[in-house]
Amino acid sequence: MTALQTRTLPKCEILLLAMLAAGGLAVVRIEAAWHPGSVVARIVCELLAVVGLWLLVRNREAMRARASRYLTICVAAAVGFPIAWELGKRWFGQSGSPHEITMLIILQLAATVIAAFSFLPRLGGTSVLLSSFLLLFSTTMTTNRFVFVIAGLYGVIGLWWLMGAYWDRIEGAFVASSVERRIPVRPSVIGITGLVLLPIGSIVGTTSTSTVVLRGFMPTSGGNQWYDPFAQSGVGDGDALVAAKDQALSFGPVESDLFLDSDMPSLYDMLDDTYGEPLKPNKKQQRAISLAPQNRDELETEQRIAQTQRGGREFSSVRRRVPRKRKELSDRDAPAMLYVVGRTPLHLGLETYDFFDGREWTHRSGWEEASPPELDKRFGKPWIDFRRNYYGSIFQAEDCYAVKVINLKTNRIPAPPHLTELHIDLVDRVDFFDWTQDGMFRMTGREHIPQLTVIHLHARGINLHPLRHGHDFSQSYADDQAIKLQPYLQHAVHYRQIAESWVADVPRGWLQVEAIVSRLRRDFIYESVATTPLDCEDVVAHFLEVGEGPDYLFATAAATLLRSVGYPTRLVTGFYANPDRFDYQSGQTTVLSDDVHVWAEVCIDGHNWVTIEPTPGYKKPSEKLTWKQRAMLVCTQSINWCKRHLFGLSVFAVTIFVLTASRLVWLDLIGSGVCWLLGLRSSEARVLWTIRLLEWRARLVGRSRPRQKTIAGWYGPLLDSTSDELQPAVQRFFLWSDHLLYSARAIESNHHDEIRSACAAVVAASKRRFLLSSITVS
Amino acid sequence: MSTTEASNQVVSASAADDLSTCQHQEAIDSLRTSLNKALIGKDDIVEMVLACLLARGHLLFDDLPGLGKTTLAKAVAHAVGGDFARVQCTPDLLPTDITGFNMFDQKTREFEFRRGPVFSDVLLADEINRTTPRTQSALFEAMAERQVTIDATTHTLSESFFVIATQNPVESHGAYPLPEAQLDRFAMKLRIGYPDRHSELAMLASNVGMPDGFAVNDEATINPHQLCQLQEHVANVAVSEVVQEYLVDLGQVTREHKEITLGLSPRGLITWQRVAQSRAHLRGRDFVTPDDIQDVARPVLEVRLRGDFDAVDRAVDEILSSVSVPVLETQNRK
Repeated sequence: MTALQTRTLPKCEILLLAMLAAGGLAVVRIEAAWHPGSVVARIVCELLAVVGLWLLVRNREAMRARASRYLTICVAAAVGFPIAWELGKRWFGQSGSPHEITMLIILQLAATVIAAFSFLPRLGGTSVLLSSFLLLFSTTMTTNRFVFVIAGLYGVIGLWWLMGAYWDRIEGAFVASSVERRIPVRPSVIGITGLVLLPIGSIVGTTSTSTVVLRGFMPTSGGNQWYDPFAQSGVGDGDALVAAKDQALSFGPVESDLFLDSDMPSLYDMLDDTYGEPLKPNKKQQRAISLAPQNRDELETEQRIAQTQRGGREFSSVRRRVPRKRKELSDRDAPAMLYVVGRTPLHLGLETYDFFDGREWTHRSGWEEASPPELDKRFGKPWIDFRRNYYGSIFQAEDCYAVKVINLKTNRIPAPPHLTELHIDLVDRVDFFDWTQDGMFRMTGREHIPQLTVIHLHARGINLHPLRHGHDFSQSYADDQAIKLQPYLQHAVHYRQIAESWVADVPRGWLQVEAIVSRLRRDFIYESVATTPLDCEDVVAHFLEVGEGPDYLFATAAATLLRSVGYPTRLVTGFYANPDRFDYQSGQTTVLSDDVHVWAEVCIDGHNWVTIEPTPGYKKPSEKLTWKQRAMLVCTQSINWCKRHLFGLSVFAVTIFVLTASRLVWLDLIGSGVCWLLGLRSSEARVLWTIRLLEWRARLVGRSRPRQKTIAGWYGPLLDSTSDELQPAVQRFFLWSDHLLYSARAIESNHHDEIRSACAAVVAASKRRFLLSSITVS
Repeated sequence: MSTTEASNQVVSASAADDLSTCQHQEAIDSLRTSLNKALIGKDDIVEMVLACLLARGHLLFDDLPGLGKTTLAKAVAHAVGGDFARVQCTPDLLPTDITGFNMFDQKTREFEFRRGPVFSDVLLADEINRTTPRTQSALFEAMAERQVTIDATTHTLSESFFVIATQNPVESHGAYPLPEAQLDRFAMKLRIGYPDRHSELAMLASNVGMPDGFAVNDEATINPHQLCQLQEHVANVAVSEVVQEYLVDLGQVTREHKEITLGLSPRGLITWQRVAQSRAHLRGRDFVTPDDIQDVARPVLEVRLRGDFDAVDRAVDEILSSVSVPVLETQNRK
């Protein structure tokens, strides 16, 4: 510790700035608190402690003498105390603050503690910087007028402090102002930066669009990967806050009532809008289908069950587009069907189909879920648990989503796969929810979910890695499960042969599923307006022959082929939350009526269905990868990309290598050419451009002239050891250069020849000398 | 020999008519040779002494005893060919001992002015910091204005009046350090330093056979009139606007430097320019370059900047490195 540090005292203006920033945050904290009294008490205690510390440091020289140690302890306390307090509050008091408030308190305490030690070098500036950030955050978090008054005051005092700091610097740091500023553009720096940025870019590039948004990574309010009951916004966060309908400023766009009422199309309306209307099924032909090897009794039973489930609930894969009298979607005030917050792409299933007769999908068998939903209250908020068997190795941590229903006339809940629980504010009765016969979720006793309802959903993320590298899942069903899955299999010899030819070299299991899906995605063309002929009895055969079709034909073909090789598959209709529709500003994805989609699901263990996406153009459901898998994915994708562009990369690499290795030569050639050409005008120009060439060459070999050195003073010694025959001419050149630069007299014409020879000598000498020196330099 | 000095010879040989003022080159060369003989192995110091002499500045040697201060001063005096006087400064030295005094002549019944040592061409004031400030002040009037006033009568000194003062930095007991205002009268302060091994061997060899210890060359190389001509010529060496701006920037920086308590005065700036002109002339040029400014920066600034000894030394480097040399700005401006 130097004597200087013990002599100087902490500066009051920096403490004042820190206290002002703390005042700004105090307003935000009081506003956000449930019980303002305790928060005010805590704020007062914090500020008193900081002022006490400041007085202690100011009055105790012994403390200033060992300031570094005390500073470390105090900053550690400033960081640790709010975290410990928050943990304690949540653990014992069942209450808490949003993460960002905790982080801002840490920032505030750090700024004020550092202000108490502001006599140490550079700490004053650090404290002001932290205070400025603190106040900036505070002003963005509130609309309270008092905070803006504080911000204005802070601006005035901050400006005053800034001027003082500037004068201090002028007075005291002369040497710093003399430092020459240069941009660090060394090749090594560029290379290392590139190496760091490449994997980051690859990781960002391989993740979905919505994860690019920072809030997904932030452990604070607004995250979709974290859960915090005390947060102020975000997906799945903020249980402890009131719902949007009660208070305008509570949640943000998802739960605000900004959408106008309009007529609500049901899923069937939209399916018809999108794909055209189904044609009347031909009963005669329907009976001719030789599918489903069940015995007659079972068929009858299923037919009966299906009949009870009917009411328009079938999905025809033979359709025609007809003009409709409905109003165009663009005429509506809110074209969105749903708003989704959370990771996309997301398949929101509404209805499943198990029986396919070659033309139409219908419900025949029921899919009973294991247990009814249960109510679970957390922090006073009702959550409906859909307990299922999620103990498989593919299941990962939960993802949080929120869906706002706008224009959908159905009581089925648009839910992501592997839904575990949902929450609709104030709906605390479990009998409002139920499983449907086809294994989806609905609100019972209602025709449709009320408009503008916000449904918070938690769903398991999946990681298919164990499935790919494990055993064949289709052979490991228990007996009762195998019977239950029978309706989802279809032993058609023709399709079996096609499917087997597609997966000839692939081991049984999930890899075969993926192989079939990949084949469909790769070799078939997505054509949304394509239809099958009216008299087509087997749409899959026609689709496989034509090679193009809309998504429902892709899904139908995938289901048929997978069933034929023994993988239980079902068709799902619903919505596809397209990541391309992600709105960065509001952080949500709009789902339009155009996003009606049909896909398939494969049952992997008798309980759980895994979504597959056979239609090209629709992104596969995102997996929750481990860091290792993500790294491997990045590597694999990078390698594959390199393999695909091998020739171009090779040419690029060779070119770069040659250009880099010979950079001195060609850069020197360019410089020499330019200087020679521009020096043709006159003797003065010749000398001037020779000087510039010298500067250029010196820069190339990393021996740029320091700014305090003259031409002769720097390059003279550098060229001192050139050969004897050039030396006199080189020295003459320096004399002429000095004459040109510093003498008022013009160069007379009778010296032109001598000047040219001197310049030529310098060009030759510098080329030889600098290129030699560049070898030692590099 | 440095690169730039080598270039002088080239100029002398080939482009002398245009690029240098070599009318007095021979005189300067002989002066240089003469001083180099007196002070072996200190070419750079001799160059500075010459620069100071041609700039009509006064010289302060600040060094340990026995390093050749007096020898060099005597050699300068002899080489210039004028009157040489020496004053050994002691605490009891009176101003009149330097300037002279009026003595009453009993025979003529009139006051007769007895000239002091200042009425010489070269004055060596040895250990100037040993005498009282009063006596020092008497000398400084002579240095600054080249005249002395005694009993209301002003006496003009020689045109080539040149003071070489020495001081010993080690023995501070009983010393009167020169105040800044008076130090400013000197053009530069030099430290001779110890000679290298080769020079010391040469010195010892030349000492053998000399009863007095030193071979003193009594022959004058130039006369005071020639010296004045040289000094006039130096005053006419051109200084371009960019170089003057560079000089002013440097001066500005000395005033802002943290470790320098007293920066460069305008008089100091003028002296710096004159010494740089002298340096350019010594190199055979009729214009000043930033190299000339930088070469003479250390001795010129050391005598003027007040601060810690090491701080001043370091500060000169920092000052020079903090200002960009004008290189292509000249052409851009043209």
